[in-house]
Amino acid sequence: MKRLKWAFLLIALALVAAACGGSATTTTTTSGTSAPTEGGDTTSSVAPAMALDGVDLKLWGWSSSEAENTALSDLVGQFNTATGANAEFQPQADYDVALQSAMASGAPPDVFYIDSFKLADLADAGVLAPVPTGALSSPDDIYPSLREAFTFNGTWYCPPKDFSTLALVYDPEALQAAGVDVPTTWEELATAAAALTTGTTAEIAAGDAQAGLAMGVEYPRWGSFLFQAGAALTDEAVTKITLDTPGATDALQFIADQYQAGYFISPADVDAGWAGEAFGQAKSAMTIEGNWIIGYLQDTFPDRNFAVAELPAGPAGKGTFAFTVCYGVAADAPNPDASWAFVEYLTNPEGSLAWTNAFNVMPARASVSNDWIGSHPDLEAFVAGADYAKRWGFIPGFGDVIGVFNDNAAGLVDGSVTVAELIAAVTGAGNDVIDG
Amino acid sequence: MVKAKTANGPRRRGGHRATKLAPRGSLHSGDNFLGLVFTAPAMIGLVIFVAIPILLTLWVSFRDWNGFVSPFDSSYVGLDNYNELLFKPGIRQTDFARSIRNNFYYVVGVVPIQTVLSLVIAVILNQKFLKGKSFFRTAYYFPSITSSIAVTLIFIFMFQSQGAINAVLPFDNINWLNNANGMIHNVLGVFGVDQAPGWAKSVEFMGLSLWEWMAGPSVAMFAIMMLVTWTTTGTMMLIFLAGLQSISPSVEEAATVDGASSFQRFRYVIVPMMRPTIYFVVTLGLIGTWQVFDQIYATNFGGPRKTTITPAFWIYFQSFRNSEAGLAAAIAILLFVIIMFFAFLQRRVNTSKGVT
Amino acid sequence: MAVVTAKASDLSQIAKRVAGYAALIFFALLFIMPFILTIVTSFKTLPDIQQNPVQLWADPDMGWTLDGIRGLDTSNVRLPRWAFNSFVVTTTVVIGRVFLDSLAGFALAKMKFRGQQVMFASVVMLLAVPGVVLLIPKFLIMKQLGILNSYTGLILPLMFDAFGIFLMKQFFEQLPNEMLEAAAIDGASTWQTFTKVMLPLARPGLIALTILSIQGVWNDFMHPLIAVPGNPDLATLPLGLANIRAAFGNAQPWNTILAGTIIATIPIAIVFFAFQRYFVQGVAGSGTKG
Repeated sequence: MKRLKWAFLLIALALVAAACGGSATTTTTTSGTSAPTEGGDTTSSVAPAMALDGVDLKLWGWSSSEAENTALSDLVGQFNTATGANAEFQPQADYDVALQSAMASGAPPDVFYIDSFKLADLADAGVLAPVPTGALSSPDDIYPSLREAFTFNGTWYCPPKDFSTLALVYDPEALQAAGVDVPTTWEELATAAAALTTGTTAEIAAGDAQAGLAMGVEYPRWGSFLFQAGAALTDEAVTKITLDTPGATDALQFIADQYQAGYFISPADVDAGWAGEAFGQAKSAMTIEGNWIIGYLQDTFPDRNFAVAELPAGPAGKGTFAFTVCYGVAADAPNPDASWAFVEYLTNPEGSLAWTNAFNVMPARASVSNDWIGSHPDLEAFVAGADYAKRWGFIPGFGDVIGVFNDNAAGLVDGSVTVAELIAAVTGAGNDVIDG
Repeated sequence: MVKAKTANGPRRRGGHRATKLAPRGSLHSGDNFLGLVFTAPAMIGLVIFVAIPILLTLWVSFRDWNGFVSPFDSSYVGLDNYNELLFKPGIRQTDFARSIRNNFYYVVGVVPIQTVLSLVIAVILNQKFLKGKSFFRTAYYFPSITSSIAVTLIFIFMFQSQGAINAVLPFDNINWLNNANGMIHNVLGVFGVDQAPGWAKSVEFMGLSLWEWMAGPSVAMFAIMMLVTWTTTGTMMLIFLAGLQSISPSVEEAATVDGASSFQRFRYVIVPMMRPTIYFVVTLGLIGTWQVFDQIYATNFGGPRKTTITPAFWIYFQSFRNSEAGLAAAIAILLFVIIMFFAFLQRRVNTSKGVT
Repeated sequence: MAVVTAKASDLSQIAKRVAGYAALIFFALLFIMPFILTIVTSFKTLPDIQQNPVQLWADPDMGWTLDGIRGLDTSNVRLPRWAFNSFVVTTTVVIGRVFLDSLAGFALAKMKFRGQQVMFASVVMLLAVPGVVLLIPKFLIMKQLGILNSYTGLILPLMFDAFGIFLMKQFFEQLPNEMLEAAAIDGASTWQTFTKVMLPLARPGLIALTILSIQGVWNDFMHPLIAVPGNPDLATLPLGLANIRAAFGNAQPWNTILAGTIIATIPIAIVFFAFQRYFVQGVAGSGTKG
């Protein structure tokens, strides 16, 4: 009987404890949601030398490669040495789910990546802390368009970590062997891709042949062709879908023709996880990817030769995407001062240059960009793209629309969907989200 | 699980006091208190983690909740979530229709095949003249006890385009897991129908054209169907074996003496006598297949081109990936209705056949 | 004449037997081959796997390797940690279930108290609720209780299981009432009767519940998926394995991935072979009782 009593007591205690924990969480969450409206009123300027000794800081992100993880972990290690903190970079396998769950449980990571694409959703939900005034050194040095990418309803939420643009990555020897020059226009791109393609998709998958160009069947790549044709998915302020134009039709038809002819391939069709892998495995002679491919290729395929050029121009000139990610801090961060000090270290001019030098992405600060270009002459094409790149960012809920675009893009590639059908489907879905 | 009423035992009508029901097997007169003490821990847990959640699903399905702030801060939106899924043309309706279509083909493929296959294996295994039964039974059942995630990874490995399955099959390599083409479309393609006929393209229901509705499972979904059939057949076989053991050997012998062939015996003796077990296996199959999730998650996360999304997966995706927990709750309620419908149907069929 | 017919029937018997075994062996290969291939592949080198995906031995030029298993303990693939978590969760949940379910099952089967019928009817109703429907509210409740991303969240909700109560009630019901009466005459308390008389008699039921729970909890994917995605330290084997391909980013080391599936399977295989009889009874029981 005694043991039974103990068991019940334990269960009762567990339930009480659980209930108490519950009420505590509720309060923090509620206060957390109301905080951001104030914003920017932290008066204490953050000195890096403040008491960070022994403070644990978790930095969450995703990783495109081991090279990226190592580079960032090194920088975090330097922060620890300088301040005595115990910061750690923890890449998450299923990032969006992990972040949402951590926020829901009231235990968000101290600092975390936010894709410019996701910023609107998170800011709208009120889970982000705005950048406190004085927390970051010379914020005006950050490119305005990148700051803009992390500003929602007039509030600036987080400093960009770096930025990347899309460029044409190619194998110079393959081009030489096929007798083609680096393409600078769509026509040249089509000719080069055709000349470089040496077999069927099955042969390419088996590693016995190569395609002209590997490119993901998705809006974040295809969108650049829209820009080159003077078209765009939406207007600047994302108030309406603007895909139903002759320019967009031409661009989509051009892409579709290349895939259907087998000159462009989807990485998934040749057993590659992404276009960078397909290119690395020599399953394609060219690919369209961003800066992150550089570290990956050097690390995973050290023998693969490559060079970078600007994306070929379309009928309306040049066009590319700029992608950026920022370091965010949660509205209910357990240790906001230390978190912002950490962010400051990672994004101030020195930190920014150290990181971008290590991983070949571009610094988001004007003051160090010349330094970076000086040490990366071979990556000039990525920098050149920054002049005319379009920002990757939308309104809350726009992920659905991109999903529809990608679905139909896959249909366009295999011939089950026409360009007009794609345009109609995306326009319909987009207007739903914009109006709803 | 299906036999609530009878399992409860015979009871007198009306609310008599406990002591009056002087019971077979009652312990002491103090049972009233102790009974509650004994059951309370388990029941409180069930209420918190099962009963309340059912009501919460319903409550959340009327709200616009993103899943990470407090749901009490979310706004009430009435039937909006249901409307978006069922009636309002748009991406949500189309995606929900897709999930239903995908899962429907999945059910139609998996349930009959696993039922027939497991029954046939059980009947062979039940033959008296065969030895080494327990070895074979173990071999067939083994896939059923392993983790769904582990076996899914094994299948992904085998179904890669440079993988074992393609190496064994005498065709050109098939890109199983990334092929979104419908199997019915593929078959029609063999007969030269590779584009939608006008009528099939113009008729639309819930945002999908008739042609899309009749696509059949995609090649990727087909691979998942093979995987699931492979893992569940063992369980069904065990249930059939237990059922077969209850058929008296004399019945089969009588049939043999009458000169019935093996097939005739199977068709006219075994199947009719196994009917209750078959119903049970089919119901179990229907309920299980409408909840398929793990394999979908691990194989292709709903892709390629959303041809492997299912309502169960879509609940997860919308609530935890897309921050649309309110919408996801509405999907959950609709899925609940579907599953209850099949459970209820099975009961009706059983009752009308006089089987419990 | 008589001799001839006897021979013919002998022949047909043999043919039948051959056909029977052929069918059994065919199916056995079908069901077991993937596992054999998996075991072999996890000891092959990556280039070997790429070139010879079906070969059941390592290419002599490339040889066997332990690289696959070595790859399971790195900074984002933490199989030892996952296995430890799975072990902790399975053990705790199973002990909890056996305790809670046998108490409740006994009370529902052998005691008479107010609300009993309602209680059992609700257990049966809850049994019918598909788990996936409860995904969101379970998350919500864990969030409100503050147990998301904690061991408590990983363990507590799994302890309460309507099926276990149902199973134990069925088992206790089959036990003769005479035993209870005899115990009562001897002056045993209810608790003594339960622990000293009934529990030993219900041993087969307890074992069935234990092994079915071990299998269910060890393999469970959905609950950890929503309970602890925000804390990688708490991932269980199925959760870790489900994301293993993403964890490797863009290269897929199949020897490592398959070695992971093998390690996740071994413990459950041991339990299975040790208690096979009860597995079979448990599953078969659920069928015939339905």
